[in-house]
Amino acid sequence: MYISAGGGGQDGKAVVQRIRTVLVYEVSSGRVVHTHHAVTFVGGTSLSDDELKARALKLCQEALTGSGRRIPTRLDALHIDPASIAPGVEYKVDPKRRTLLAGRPISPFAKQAASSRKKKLPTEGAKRRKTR
Amino acid sequence: MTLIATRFANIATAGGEDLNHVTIDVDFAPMNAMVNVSISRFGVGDSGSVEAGILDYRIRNDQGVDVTTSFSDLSNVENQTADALPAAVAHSNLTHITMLVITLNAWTRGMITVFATDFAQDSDQ
Repeated sequence: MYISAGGGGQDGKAVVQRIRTVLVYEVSSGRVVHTHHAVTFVGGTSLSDDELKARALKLCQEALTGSGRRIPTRLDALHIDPASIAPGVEYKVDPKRRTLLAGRPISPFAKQAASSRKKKLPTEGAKRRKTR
Repeated sequence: MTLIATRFANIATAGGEDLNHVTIDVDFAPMNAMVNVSISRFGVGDSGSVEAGILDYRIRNDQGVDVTTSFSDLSNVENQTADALPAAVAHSNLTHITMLVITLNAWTRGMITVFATDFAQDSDQ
């Protein structure tokens, strides 16, 4: 859910006016169901915080309905500071305190490599055991 | 054609072991622009998938009203084909783009790039 933004024009002035992030989460577990980012550049139209929350919830509900998956009984939306998010980390929400909790790092390659090694590539130890 | 300005947003999404979706609104002053969305650095687990594209864009018409063009309804996401959403649009007086990234048992990194030029051409790719 990490986000960054930038860019430039001929005048060389800063162009990013505002970055906001809204998390839609399951109230019972704190699991983040949907992430919505809004990046407003200079001269761009900006929704109010409440409108942005409503938009995030609407997009989330639509996506969940269309996916055919279980729709959490209670969803809530939370504005968070995008600068507080580190890349490569999974997050969840503490539903009671309504704060962000950092979870485990994303390491799909390590996970996949470990499982495929088990199936396809016998370890040196296993090879030795076989030859004995 | 001269490149006047660039605007970009770079997002990373974690799929974990379930379906995850991220949407990104990018709003800017009206420009003749081409927008590209892309994904890179993705990892897909067993039976996983990654889909991304432009969900909608907005242009400011001659009356000063922003008009939205949507390519998909998210509530029909299950019935979409993987290429239902365009990866690029070009339009005069463009003011807004929404990118959608959906991951299932996967993670990825997405990028929206807006190239503003002094040349206007309208197309969806």
